[in-house]
This record gives sequence, structure tokens and C-alpha cells, in this order.
Amino acid sequence: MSRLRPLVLLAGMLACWSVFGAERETLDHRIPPGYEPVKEEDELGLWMEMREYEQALKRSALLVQDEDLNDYLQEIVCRVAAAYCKDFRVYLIRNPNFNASMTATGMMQVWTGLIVRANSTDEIAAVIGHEISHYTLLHSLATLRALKKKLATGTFVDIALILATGYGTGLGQTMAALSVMSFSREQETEADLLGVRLLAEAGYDPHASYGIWQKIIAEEEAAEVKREKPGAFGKTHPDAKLRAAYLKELVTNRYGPPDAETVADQRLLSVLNNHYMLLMEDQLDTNRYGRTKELLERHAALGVEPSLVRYFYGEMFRQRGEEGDRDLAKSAYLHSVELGKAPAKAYSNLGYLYLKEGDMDNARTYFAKYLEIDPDASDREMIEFYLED
Amino acid sequence: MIYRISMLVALAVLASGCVSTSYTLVEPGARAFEGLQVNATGGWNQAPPMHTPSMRKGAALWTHDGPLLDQLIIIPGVADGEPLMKSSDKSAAMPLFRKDMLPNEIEELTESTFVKYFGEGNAVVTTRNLRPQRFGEHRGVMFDVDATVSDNPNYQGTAGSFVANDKLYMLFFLGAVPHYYDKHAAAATSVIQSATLTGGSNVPVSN
Amino acid sequence: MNKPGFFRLLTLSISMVLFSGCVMSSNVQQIDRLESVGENPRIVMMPPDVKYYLLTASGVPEPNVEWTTAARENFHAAMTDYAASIGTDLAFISTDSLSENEIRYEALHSAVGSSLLNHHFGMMKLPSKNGKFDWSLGPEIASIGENHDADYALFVYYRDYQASGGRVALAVLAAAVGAGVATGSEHGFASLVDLRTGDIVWFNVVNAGAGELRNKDGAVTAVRALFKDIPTARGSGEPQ
Repeated sequence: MSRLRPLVLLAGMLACWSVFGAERETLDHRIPPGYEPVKEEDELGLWMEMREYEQALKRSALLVQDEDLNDYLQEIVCRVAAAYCKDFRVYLIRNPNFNASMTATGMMQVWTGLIVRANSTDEIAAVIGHEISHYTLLHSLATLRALKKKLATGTFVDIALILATGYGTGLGQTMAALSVMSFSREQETEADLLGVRLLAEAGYDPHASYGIWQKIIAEEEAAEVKREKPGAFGKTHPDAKLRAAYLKELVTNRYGPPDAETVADQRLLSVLNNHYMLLMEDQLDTNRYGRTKELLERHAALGVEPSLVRYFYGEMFRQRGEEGDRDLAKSAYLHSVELGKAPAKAYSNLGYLYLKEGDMDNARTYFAKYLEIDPDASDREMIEFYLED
Repeated sequence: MIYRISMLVALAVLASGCVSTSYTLVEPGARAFEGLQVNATGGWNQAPPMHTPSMRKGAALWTHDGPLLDQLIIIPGVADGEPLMKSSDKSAAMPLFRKDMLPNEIEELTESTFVKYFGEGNAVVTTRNLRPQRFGEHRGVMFDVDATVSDNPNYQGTAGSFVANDKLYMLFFLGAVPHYYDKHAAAATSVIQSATLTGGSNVPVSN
Repeated sequence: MNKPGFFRLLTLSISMVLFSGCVMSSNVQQIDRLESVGENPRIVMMPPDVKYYLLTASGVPEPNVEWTTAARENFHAAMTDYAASIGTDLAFISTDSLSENEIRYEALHSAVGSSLLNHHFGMMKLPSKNGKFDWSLGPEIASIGENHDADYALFVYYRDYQASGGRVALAVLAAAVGAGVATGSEHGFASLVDLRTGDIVWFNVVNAGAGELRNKDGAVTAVRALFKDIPTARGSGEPQ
């Protein structure tokens, strides 16, 4: 940890403060509700491309169609957006990474990885408010123009990459091209500032604006220990520590200190409980156990249904398979079962663990129980094979 | 980064003139892969290594109509602690085979590997119908697969796998939906079910 | 950002075949005339995937809405006239009214088209095919035929990257130092699918010089190039 670090942090904060100082009173939406681009040709072109991309997105198998989840997000968007509510369409995408994005046409993507990382609806609202601000501050277009200037030297590889993305109905491909367009630091600061204002005006807790950054930092640190790769949001939104710091300063000055007590967010809890399997399955598949553990600890503290959290601890330990993990997995599954709401797979996975230990009696008991709970299990043939053995 | 380097390589190859990368015809009959033997049906083509950068040494990809439409992947001899497929990106966190893996774990290993094969965040892979299957003298498993990959048709698949001498042997078929899975499933399944080890130990693996 | 797996690289490297000029032959003709149970063979036109871009000096292709809109309108008009002139009954489906099933077939067709470009026209031949063209979308596509009362489906893909003045200048500069800079290109392909069997009975690839879709006359030329030798009720291709 460099000595210079706090100094750099301070310098950065002072630099950002100067942005605040000048803009704080005047930072406002730059387009009216219902905005449509009119004159600039490059803007029209971008809109058209985005519209086609959105068509493709609606058809994507990775789009989560669940009504409850979509209603939850839509409510948040409309509350934060206020007069701009109708300008946005929000799409929930199955991707275990933390990310949310916004295009110039008002198409917002939220990844399921964001929902599992939030401690409160306010935190989700904070990210959404940030993205909404990118839109009303017209950052996408400014970025495209800046990118053109930046790439004036144009390499053959860049061209080929972008030309190739013209093929097909470019869902992933357009995003790939967009990924080279991350916002400038100044734009990120602007979006942070306006985002906080929108958050507070909508009645959400403005302290959530830095709360979510702190969580991301914690997760990155847990991941670093395990040498896991940096997340998508982290890459496109650098300086997490700096931003958490200046946002905390700003919010505390403007809105006072955070509440001493935090009340459990029932709406978020209900969303997590009702969709936990969907939300956490993909996270498990990433094989990034440092991060997964961090999330499970958070969910347990939050009050997510303990049976479910224990089950995923079981899954995590079992798949991680380090020394001693097998026993940890077994006790986690047993605990999940004890708590009464264990998913069926807790039983079959216990069966397999006992099988590994050579404890045939217990293995059979749990396999039989599994089939009792889930008579339509697709792996029935496999389980019966072990029962008959 | 890896993405751009790969594009550069692809471009350099193409820019050097129309480089022929040849698929080779797979002769029907017994085909061996490092001790793993299968009975090839007719009409399969084996992909050249340039087309299969994710494949381990000794592994092969077969296809009738092109890998975007149908592919049979044969992976022999994965040792304890090794992944099913290669990734030059060290942070990819490819899941590793462990020699004491039970069928449910092999299923998960496959699912997780294929999500990364298609690109994280680009694919959803689910498995079902796990069932016991004999491969020669060895007890193994088969299961079915569904894969949704962005910018591609959906894929349906079938996998067969067994562990022998502490090594994993995996055969995995994917076909585009509609039509291509149905077209080649029977042939692919027959190849998969014909897998056995040549020479070596004939002792059945205990769980 | 999503990390592209091997699959994505494969799809993209296939696209590269289009740009590299490694496409050897350009047309496949399986049948000479269209057939129908009814009086006039009916073709349903899937939403044409036509896009125009301005390739600026920076290398970022800008989708150009004015050109793309004009191109699509002209394509539609030219296509309607052309179909009539060759005695073919053509029905257009718009992007908004695609059914789930039709969307699946569009995705499948893209994969089949890419495979064709790579393995039939391109250098990565599949020896088991022995030069035979037998790519199909499968007989279950008949449901599309039933829904639209059509005998055949036509898929079209077209991309045009127009080089700006700045781009051309850059290309000249780059050539001077031996580097390569793409100066714009246009290319497309069209395939005709028999909706009873799903077989691709006709496939055509066009490269540069096909015709300028942005103006009406150019569109007529482009459509003729794209649909050169397309089978008709009367036998291949000459319009009245």
C-alpha cells in the first residue's frame, strides 16, 4: 500500500470537487422527456442501430421474462426516472456479472449479477439512477464522437473487428463494439452526481450510491485473493475507491449521515427468496468461489431464506473441493435440510457425498428421499441405479 | 485482449492469401484417440487444429455439416486436476476434473466448461436425463444438454463420459435446433456409445 | 464485457471469409423452375437484413439511417417489380410480425449461410460432402409455408460500407507504408428455401459492383445481380 495513495486519493477528490463546485448547482438533465434525435446524422444512425439491437435483445434467450422480476425493476426505474419514466425500456439479462448499461435510445440492461449483489432496493436504484443520468446527460453520443477522434489513426485490427460485427442481428456483437466506448471520467462523475440527486428525489436512500461501490470493492478484494478476474462493471467504471469516497463525502454533506439502523428491505428479500435458484445458479457456474462466498455471506446477513443460502454454501464447498470442503458441504446441506425448505438437489447431493465416503446406508436414505420429493427428477434413472446397487 | 489477438491471427492467416485449412474425412470403423477407441459411422469430417483452439492435445472435433451446425467433440485422457478444454486466459477459471468425481459432478463439470467454451455471459447451458451407461468394461454416464448461445441458433446435445485409471473420457455432441440435432443424433449417439478403452486395464471402475 | 468464447470467434472468422476475397464461386442452383400446388408459386420474403454504413477515417463504421432506409425502400420496390416480372408471387413479412418459430429459422439460416460460405464456397471444404450442396433448414419449416400459404422462402443479407473521403485518404497513406486499410465494400447473399423440404434450392453471393441500393435504378441492378438465375415459374431468371 503506497504512501502516496492517500495523497492521490485526496488530489482526485479535490479535482472532482472542482467539478462539483462548478456544476453542483447547475447539473441537470440535458434533454427533455420524450427526446428523439433530430438533426445530426451520426446520432440518427446510432439510434437506428440501437433500435435493431433492441429488437434482437427482445428475442434473446438470455432475457429473463419472469413478470415478478421485471415488475420489480420497472417500478424502480419509473420512480427514479420520474418525468422520464416512459423513455426507458429495461431488460433483465441472465449474466452473473455485476453490470448495468444504457444506450442513447433509452434501452437499459440490468444483469442478474447486479440483483444478487445488492443489499437493498436503494442500491439497485442507485445504479439505475446512474445509468439514467448517462442518458439524460447525452453521454452516449458525446462518446461516439470522441471515439471517432480517438481512433483517427485506426488500426487494421480494430476495423476488422468492427466490420465483422456487422454480420447478423448483432446482439453480442454490437455490445462488443459498444464495449470499446466506455465513458470518460468526467462523464462518470456527472452521472454520479445527477444520479444521487435523482435517487434522493425519488425517496431512496442517497447513501446507497456509495454503498454499492463499497460492496463491489469488497468483492473485488475477495476475488483478488483467489486471483480471479476483475468484473465487467469494474473494468468500465474505474476508480471505485475514489468514487465511493467522494460520493460518501458529497452525500453526507448534502443529506446528513446515514441512518444508524438499517431496516431489512422486504421487497428485495422477497425477490431474492422467490428467484434464488435462478439468480445464484449462474453465479455458481462461474467457478469463482471467492466471490460466491462473499455473496452468500451477504445474503445470510440480509436474511435470505436460510435453507436456500445453506444449500448454496453446500454447492459451493462441494464444487470447490479443497481440503476439508467435503465435510463443510455435507454440514451445509444437512443444515439446509434441517431448516425445512431445502431444494430437492440438497438430498441428492447429500446422497452423492455419502456415497463418496462409502456410507451406503445414508446414501440410500437421501437418494430415496430425493426421489420422494421430486418424483419427476430427470436423473431418476441414475439415482435408481445407486439405490439398486 | 485475447479477442483482438485472435482476430489478428485470423486476419494474418487470411491476408497471407487463401490459406487452405483442411478438414479431413473420418474413415468409418475403429478410430483411436490416445487409448480411447470409438466406432466412427460415415460422413464425419475432422476439424483442423486451427479451427479448434480450445481443444486439448489429443482431442478431436468431428462434424457433418460444419461446427456451427453440428459437432462431436472427443476428449480422451483428462488427468486429475486438468480442465476439459484449454483457455489461454488464465483468469477464465476453467473447472478442473478430479479423479474422485461422481456422475453429478461430471455433469456439472461439463455444463460449466461449455458455458466458458461459448463465452461467459453469452450462453446458458443446462443438463438433464443423467443415466448410467457402460462403455466396454467401464461404468460411465450419459446425459442430455440444452445450450442457448447468443447470436446463434439453439443447440441440443448428448454427452457420454467415463472415468478409467483416474482419467476422464468425454464425448459430447451438439446439433443446432431445428433440424441438425435430429439429423445427426442417432449417428452421434452410436459413436458415443461405442467408446471403450483399447488395451490397458479392463477392470471396471468402482465409485 | 462478455468474453467471447471459441464459438464467437468461429462465427466472426467466417465473416472474415467475406472480406478476404477468398470466396471462389458464387452461385448454386439446385432447381430450374419453381413448383407449386397452386396456380402461381408463392414466395415469402423474410425481413431482408440490409444495412448501410459510412466507413469514416477513424475506422468506426457509422450506421447510416438515411442510406439504410432508402436502400430498404428501394430494395422492397425493386423486389416487388422483379418478382412480378418473373411471374413470381412475393409476400413480404415485416420484422415486427415475425413469429417465434420464424425467428428460430432466421437464426438457423444465419448459421447455415455462414457454414455455406465457409465450407462450400470458402476454403474449408468438408470432404464428406464431396462438393455436393445439400444444406437444408429441415422439413419442419413447412409450418412457415402453411402460415403464409407459400411454397418458398427468400432470405437476403446485404451490407454496404461506404468509404468517406477521409477514409480513402487514409487508405492511400496506409498503402504508402505497406499497411492495409479497408476502403469500403459491399457484399450480400440471397438464398431460396423450398418450404416443403427445407432445402436451399438456390443460393447466390454478390460482391462489389452489384449495384447501388440507395437509388432506384441502382436498386434494380442490385436486385437483378442478387437474384441472377433465380428459378421462376417459367424457368430460370430472365425477366420480361
